[in-house]
Amino acid sequence: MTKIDYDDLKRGGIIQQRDSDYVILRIRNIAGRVDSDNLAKIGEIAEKYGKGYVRCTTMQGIEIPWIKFDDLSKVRKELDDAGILHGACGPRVRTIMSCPGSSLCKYGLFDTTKIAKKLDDAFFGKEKIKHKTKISVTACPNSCALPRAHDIGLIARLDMEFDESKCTGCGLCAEICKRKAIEIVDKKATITWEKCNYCGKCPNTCPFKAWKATRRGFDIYVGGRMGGEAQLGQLAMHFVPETEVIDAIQKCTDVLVNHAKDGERLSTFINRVGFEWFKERIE
Amino acid sequence: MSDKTKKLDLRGEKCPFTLIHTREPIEQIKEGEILEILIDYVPAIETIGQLAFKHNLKFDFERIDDYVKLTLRK
Ligand code: SF4
Ligand code: SF4
Ligand code: SF4
Repeated sequence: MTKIDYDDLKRGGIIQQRDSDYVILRIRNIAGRVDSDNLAKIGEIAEKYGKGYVRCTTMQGIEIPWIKFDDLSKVRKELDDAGILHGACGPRVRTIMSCPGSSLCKYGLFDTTKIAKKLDDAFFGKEKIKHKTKISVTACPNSCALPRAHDIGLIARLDMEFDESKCTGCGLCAEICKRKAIEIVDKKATITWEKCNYCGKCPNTCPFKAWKATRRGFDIYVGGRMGGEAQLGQLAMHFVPETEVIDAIQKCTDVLVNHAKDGERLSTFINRVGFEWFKERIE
Repeated sequence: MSDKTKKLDLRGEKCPFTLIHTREPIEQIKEGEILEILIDYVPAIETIGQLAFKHNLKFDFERIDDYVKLTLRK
């Protein structure tokens, strides 16, 4: 008879396999980062207790399948000792996802991996939030970590000013803008602001520094999700400064905690009460 | 004058070859030298623009039919 440690099970990260003698162990990687020593340890565990392979999840985590129920406590302890984090499942705030951000990607406007870490400290596994809530942060509108497919998605944007006297009309910005927001008129760049999505490419590319970055911040989208009821998140807050991001997300989750019915996810909740109703409460 | 102009025809090339072929020539441009690049892959145009930005190079950009001519000088 196997002794089952129920307190340990409550910490999450264990998924029953189709074959009921086995479980999948889910590991969470904040912002998708795995340090190499942890990676080696995970490999070692998969080799020793599993079937010598792991799976990468869409939430940037790692899962080790084929762990015997009987080995569970032993394996969990080995992971704990190595400082490897258990994943989340069930009605909780999940691992915070992030794109590589400004430390790796040339388009990055923020180091989103650091912001993801802060959000993780503030929100991960918060018992108060009794709903599955996924958060993703990306460092530019390219949205590589799929923010609008998450309950709460952050997209970085950069606002800018144009100094016409510096513009030579070279046309580079017009060429690279995916939104076709810029035209060259009389040898000067002319922007149609309604088309611009504040991606930050102009100020970071113009060889004559005719575009100057003014402010940067995050647009916050709410109510996105995948699955059978897939829908995209809607824009709830515009240009939130980095320092106010935690408060902004807190406001969204507070409304959810105070008003949602049991089992209602942010998307279902917003669909029921209406986006405008929700927006009024977070302003 | 012409011996100071280096030409690179990268039409048809895509990443990462566009970067591999341009990185060193761009870094090595000296005062008075000109580097002319013909290219038709838009994301690479942007990368080269950023390199020019980083190395404080003067920059001309001209669209010719289905490709562009970038002229970099120090
Ligand atoms: S979202 Fe933008 S900054 Fe982040 S990885 Fe994608 S392109 Fe780079
Ligand atoms: S890249 Fe700079 S100099 Fe060239 S057209 Fe755009 S703003 Fe003007
Ligand atoms: S900042 Fe605006 S105008 Fe410039 S490339 Fe991005 S979308 Fe286009």
